[in-house]
Amino acid sequence: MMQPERADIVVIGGGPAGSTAAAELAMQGRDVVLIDKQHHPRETVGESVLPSAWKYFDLLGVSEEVRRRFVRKAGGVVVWGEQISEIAFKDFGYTRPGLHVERDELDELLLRNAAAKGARVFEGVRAEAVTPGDAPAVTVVGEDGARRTIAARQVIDATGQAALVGRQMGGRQLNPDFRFVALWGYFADSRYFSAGGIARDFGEIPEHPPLTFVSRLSGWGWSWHIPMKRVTSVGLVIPVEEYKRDLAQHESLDAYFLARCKATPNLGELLAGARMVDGGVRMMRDFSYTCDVLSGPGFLVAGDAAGFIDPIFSIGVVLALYAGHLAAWATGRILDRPAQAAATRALFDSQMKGRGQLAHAMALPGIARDATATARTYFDYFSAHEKALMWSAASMTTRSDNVVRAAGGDTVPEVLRRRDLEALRL
Amino acid sequence: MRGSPVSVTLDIVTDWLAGLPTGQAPVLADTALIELGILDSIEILNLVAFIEERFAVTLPVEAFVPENFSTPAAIAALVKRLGEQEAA
Repeated sequence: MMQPERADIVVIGGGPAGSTAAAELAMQGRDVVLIDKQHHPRETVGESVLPSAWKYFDLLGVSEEVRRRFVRKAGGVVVWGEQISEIAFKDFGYTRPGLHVERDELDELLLRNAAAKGARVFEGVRAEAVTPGDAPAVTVVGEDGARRTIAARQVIDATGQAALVGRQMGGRQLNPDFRFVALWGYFADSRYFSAGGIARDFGEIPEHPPLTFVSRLSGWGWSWHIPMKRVTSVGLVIPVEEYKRDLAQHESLDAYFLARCKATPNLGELLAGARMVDGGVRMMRDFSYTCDVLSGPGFLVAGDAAGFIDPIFSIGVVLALYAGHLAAWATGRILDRPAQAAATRALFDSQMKGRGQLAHAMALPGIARDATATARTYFDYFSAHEKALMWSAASMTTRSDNVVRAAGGDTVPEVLRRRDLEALRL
Repeated sequence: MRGSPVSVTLDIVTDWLAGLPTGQAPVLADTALIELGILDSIEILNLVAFIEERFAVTLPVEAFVPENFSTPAAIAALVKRLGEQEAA
């Protein structure tokens, strides 16, 4: 397929936000091109998915395939200092489980779905710049090194942490208080926690769905443990300064990572008989940021390109699916009702900002500018069940005092459906 | 439909909401739509598109707040206000 010179809509990035937007716009019968700088399947992290993802999977027509392909999770268990607590999704009225997904597989599934719905997908094509305006364009570089321009009527920047528009137009604000490094690796034969905090052997996953296991590390850091089909994703989120200081005392990154995992209570025990597989430790910066520019004439910014929050509560994929859906809605509206383009962009911005600030209030302590007021307004878009889940999850750590404030009260209300455990049963 | 009585608007909105796959009890004028999960983040966007089309109004960003969508009665009142603003 030849790369086109024009398309009504150009979506940049084939992660969950971009693929959702492209699929929905194609389902509306629109002319959509999606470009991605990589070839799928490609590895990425963020493997825990909340049950609210299902309504987007339904909309995209992929629920049956998702159900067949990934491990279902029953909830989460968190060790935060002295407190051990568990939440189960079924206690909040969810009829379908959360998921532990291989992200290369989920992301490819969503991308191929966008193509099946009619979007023209080009992989190995990197976007260099977006030219905003009434007739926007995207400058791209293919694998042959040639530079071309794709003319569009609307562009969606879903470039993830590459944040094309945010970097190009400025206004990408790093949160200086929460600069972490995420280190992670994949383990064969790790044990895992199931309902009640009971540790089980990896082979028991089909009969006893796993919980996502999170525990507190020093300095607001935390660890994750996410059992998937064949291996378990294990990661450490560590403040940058601590990472630099401690890495120097080990002979390699792998040695440091393994020592730190083994020294973490409960996690060390789960990994006692496990071995790291597939190429050792991965590392990425885990810096929370927001973008001041979420839209402009001819373009919208969706997913991690619009902002990234330390992902302690597994909200990343759902946030991306929502952003993709919202971007498709807004793009369709702008094309159909050009006179109201500015009003539609304002709606898009307010929803993106509200979601982002609520996510911030959940995941990070302290007050960021006007975050609490916006988060409070946004909170009321959620049902009683969803609010109860957010409060209950937030109460499992000390990171989320903002959510209590955002909820409008001084204390977490009586809807807590968290179970406190005396101990994990290793 | 601009200038219709609120009761007619309410019937039209309630009919639309009744078509949602919620599995809930009948939707009444004071049913807590968001609280009960009938109007979620996906459906609220569909509803906005519907009322704009059906009642020939435009929703300004200030009006896109949860309290304006909390019940069918609140939505009907919103539509009435928007119609009056545009007629003025």
